[in-house]
Amino acid sequence: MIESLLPTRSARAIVGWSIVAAILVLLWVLVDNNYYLRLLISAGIAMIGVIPFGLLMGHMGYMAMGQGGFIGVGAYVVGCLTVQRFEIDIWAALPIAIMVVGALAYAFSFALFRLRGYHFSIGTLALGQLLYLAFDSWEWATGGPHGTSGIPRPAIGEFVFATNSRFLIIVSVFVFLAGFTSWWLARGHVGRALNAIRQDEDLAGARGLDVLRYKQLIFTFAAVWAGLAGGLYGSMQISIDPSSFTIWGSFQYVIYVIIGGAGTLLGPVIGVIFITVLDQLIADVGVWNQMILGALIVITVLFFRGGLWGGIRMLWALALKNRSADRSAVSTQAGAAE
Amino acid sequence: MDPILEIRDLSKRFGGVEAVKAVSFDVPRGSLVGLIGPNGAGKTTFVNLVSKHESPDTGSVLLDKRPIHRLPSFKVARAGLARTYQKNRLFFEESVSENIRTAMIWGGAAKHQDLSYPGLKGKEEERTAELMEFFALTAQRDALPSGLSHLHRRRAEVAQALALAPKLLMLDEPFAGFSREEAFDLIDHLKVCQKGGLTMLLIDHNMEVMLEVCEYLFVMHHGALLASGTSAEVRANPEVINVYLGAET
Repeated sequence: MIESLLPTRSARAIVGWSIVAAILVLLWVLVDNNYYLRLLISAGIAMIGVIPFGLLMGHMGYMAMGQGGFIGVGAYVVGCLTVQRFEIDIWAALPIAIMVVGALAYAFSFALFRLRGYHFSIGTLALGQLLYLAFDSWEWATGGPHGTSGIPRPAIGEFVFATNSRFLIIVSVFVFLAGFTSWWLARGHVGRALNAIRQDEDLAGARGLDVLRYKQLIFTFAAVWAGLAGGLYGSMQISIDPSSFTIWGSFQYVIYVIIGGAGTLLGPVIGVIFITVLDQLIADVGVWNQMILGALIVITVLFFRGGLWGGIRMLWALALKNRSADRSAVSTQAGAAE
Repeated sequence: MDPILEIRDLSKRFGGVEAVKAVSFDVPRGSLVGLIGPNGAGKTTFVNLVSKHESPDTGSVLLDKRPIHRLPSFKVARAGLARTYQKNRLFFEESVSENIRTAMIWGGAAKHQDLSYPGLKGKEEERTAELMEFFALTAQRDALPSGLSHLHRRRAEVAQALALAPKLLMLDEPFAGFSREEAFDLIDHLKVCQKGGLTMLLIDHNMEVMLEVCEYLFVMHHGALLASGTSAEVRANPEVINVYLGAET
């Protein structure tokens, strides 16, 4: 039915992302509790990082486990430039943070993409840990274990995005931009190249595709958005320290994609929403919290390879099939009666 | 002889195993030559070295006088050297026509004016349609590789390789799993391409077909080039008989 109403993929994507943006706006209007607003901001920041990461992990099939490090670099560059060593405006610090993370990711991509499969995952894990150690020990820039405090909220003229409801506006804009740029990349020749790399990268190379260039492009793209998410995270938290950028942060990105559904842009978004809601529901069960999450991942991997989004689409397709079967049965009966 | 491919002292070692040992030979332009050898002779490693799926330890490869042994595999493909695989490889999530069209896009537009086999002229859609028609794949244009018979999958793979508009096509065991009729059906198609200027290097251990089809043969054994010559010369070579045909006794 969706295909008949919206015949092109572009139309479906525009409607889909408009619905996501509309939900964010609706939540912004309806939610006035500060706790829930912070939850929405955290979820939005996670989406900014994880939607582009979905291209790397889902579309291209490279499970990077060091995104937490890039988030940290983004946060610390903003922290260093705005309070720790310099006092420049956060609107200038954010693009610099993006460029630093991009340059770092691109430089490391040469070594990392000599690896494949789980070797690549371990390589990125090591990079994430290396960056964590740098946050913890490079006191001049990061403040060491004590971290950096006083990171400002952005402002446009006199209008400071100081309150959570105002800050959510900025986050929502970047969620939309992260979604739009990722969709734009995934729909054309880049998307075709990423899918080919996931299916058989040796064959793609033998058919003339510059595989390394596309791998580096998407790795850097995902890192840049993770850096921006980190900068916004620093601004939201005001104070950051290395404990926010451990391996667990990187694992969370992987979990969002697996639970939500790899290979689609909306899957990681659903993953973030699901985990955020689940965290709230099982916040009081102590250590069981992690065990429930672990069990869910195992169940998803075993029974729902397409994640929650894949499950929704499967059920939708099944419902449509049943409905058309019912209709044809009714028309057959009517024909027989005539 | 005007060689299109010049191999000089090509070697590759994996740990303690010398998979390819200082192999040198030339492939004449427009010819259909074969590379034979028993299992484990190093044929596929040799193909991987020439197509740059593996990097050689030593040696050089010249395609049309241009060194390609230091290029990455995609540049080798764009330079005009295409290959197929021992185990059939296609993009399993793409239809037959998408598989062909994609290679066409990545490989660049047909640029070798001296070639004239199917799928070289016109826009991508026309070239794709022509290649599918040539290999009798039009009915399967929207099918996924998993839904194709072995024969159609092999044809689709060759069509995909030809979509690069190569000067030289290396086919690694193209007749594996084929009956004699099916093998000769594919050969008939390849001969049409040869008339259009395509050079082909066939790698197979189906001696019967290879000796009948190839104008010239190279024989590998234990990673080294053991012999070369016409089918009659290879058939008569005592070393080949000894290590390959096993007819010594």
